[in-house]
Amino acid sequence: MNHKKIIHLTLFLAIIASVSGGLLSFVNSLTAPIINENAIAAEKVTLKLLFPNTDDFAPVTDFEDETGSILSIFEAKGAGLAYKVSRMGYANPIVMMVGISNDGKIVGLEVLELADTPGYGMKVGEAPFIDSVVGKSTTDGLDLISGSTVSSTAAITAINAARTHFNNFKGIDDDGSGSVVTPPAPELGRTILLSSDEATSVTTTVTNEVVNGDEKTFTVESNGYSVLEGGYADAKPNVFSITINTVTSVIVAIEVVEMNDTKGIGDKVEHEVFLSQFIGLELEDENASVDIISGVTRTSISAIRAVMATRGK
Amino acid sequence: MSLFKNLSNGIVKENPVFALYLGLCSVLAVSNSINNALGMSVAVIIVLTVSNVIIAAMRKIIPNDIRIPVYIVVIATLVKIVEMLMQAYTPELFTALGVFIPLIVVNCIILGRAEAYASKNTVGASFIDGIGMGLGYTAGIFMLAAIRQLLATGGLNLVNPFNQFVFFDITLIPSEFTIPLFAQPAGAFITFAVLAALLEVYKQSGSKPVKKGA
Repeated sequence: MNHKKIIHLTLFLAIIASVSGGLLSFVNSLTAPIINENAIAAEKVTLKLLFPNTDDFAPVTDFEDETGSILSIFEAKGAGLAYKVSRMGYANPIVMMVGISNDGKIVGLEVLELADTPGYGMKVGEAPFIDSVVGKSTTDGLDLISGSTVSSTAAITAINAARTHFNNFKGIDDDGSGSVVTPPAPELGRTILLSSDEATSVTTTVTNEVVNGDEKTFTVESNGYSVLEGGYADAKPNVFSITINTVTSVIVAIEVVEMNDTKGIGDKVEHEVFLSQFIGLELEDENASVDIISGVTRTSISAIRAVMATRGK
Repeated sequence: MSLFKNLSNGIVKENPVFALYLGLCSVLAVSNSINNALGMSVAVIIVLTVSNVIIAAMRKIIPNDIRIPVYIVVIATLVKIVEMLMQAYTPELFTALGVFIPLIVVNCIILGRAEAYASKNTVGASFIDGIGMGLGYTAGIFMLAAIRQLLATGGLNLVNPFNQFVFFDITLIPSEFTIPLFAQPAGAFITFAVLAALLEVYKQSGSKPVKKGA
């Protein structure tokens, strides 16, 4: 192939490509405003709720989001940014629109899709949670909802994705303190006597005993919510490890070995607030009692039954 | 070749879908409703015809060594234009067809006709060939879509993609007797195989019997 031919081929392809490029940018200039208009039209109602004083919205098409939570971003000219975010909740995806004003405040949270457990996950869409988020800055911490850890964690993860993008976009320095979410201590409810019928029904199995001087450590399987309620595939009892002083029959230690009840609800019994109540109680004491965790009755009682199973052994 | 013969060639004898087995990716994927099928067909006819015309017009100046890159640039540009227009004016159809619009670029029918026909024939003949092949594609995907949608949902409906005006929406099979399998990819393959076999029977019935061992 001689030089002339190479130049000919190169030039030909270059001309074709530039004609195509010109044509494309021409069509793009015609269609881009309409495409933007279409994208906004679908979200216009929600956008107006977040930024009622603005009419000028434009979609932001080029954005980075490592978490994959951000579906789309809209810029409210002169007011702030609106993020449509989605995250898998307890049973179904949670879709929300978060509005962040240019001064870094969350100005609105509109829950668009939410179908989690009524009374638990559905709290994400209720006023106390929304009010706790709205007004926070993009670096403040957000509180989880007691009793709907999974759903509210999903919601907060999604909101944080929007906040992270906003902070990067506006150059706001986030020290990371805001993104740390700590599960709240469970609320204690009704008090149950260890000697009551409720606490001593026989649904427990001691599977292992280890003697260590005066102390004896039992491994106990106790049926919790998933087994008692029935209908759950692969439902298994919860397993506790309980150490008793065999001389005084005082509870020395209790640990959750295996938790097979609802994640985010049943596993609250693992919290110090609940388990520490057992320490120092005497098994033979008629008046010994503990407070169960509200909303987690079945699982809490399974722990009490496990303890009672060790009595007299 | 007469104009009519040229047209019908693409629809029956050299039907790109059922006789040449070209462009099957989009045929199998978007033939779940006649609405999507017709939308896809219109996009393909436009790209196919315009690319045929452009390539036929340039056939004498395109250097032979780089003809394929040139065809690809022409086709890709046209597809992108159609894609942008669809996104602007028929957003519902654009969402329904999704990735299969940009995939028209690699639809073998279009590059195939550019290489096999438009690069050797006049602009007029290539235009007719584009329409004919496009209609052949339409006929193929439409038949497939009509059968699949009818069996899977029990009804047919057609909506104007520009203003969402419903042309018709009829239910022919009660919902107890529908076969949801036909909405699935497996249903697409089964329907396609049956239709391709029927077309083959039709073509052979008109020609002389094939000699054994030939």
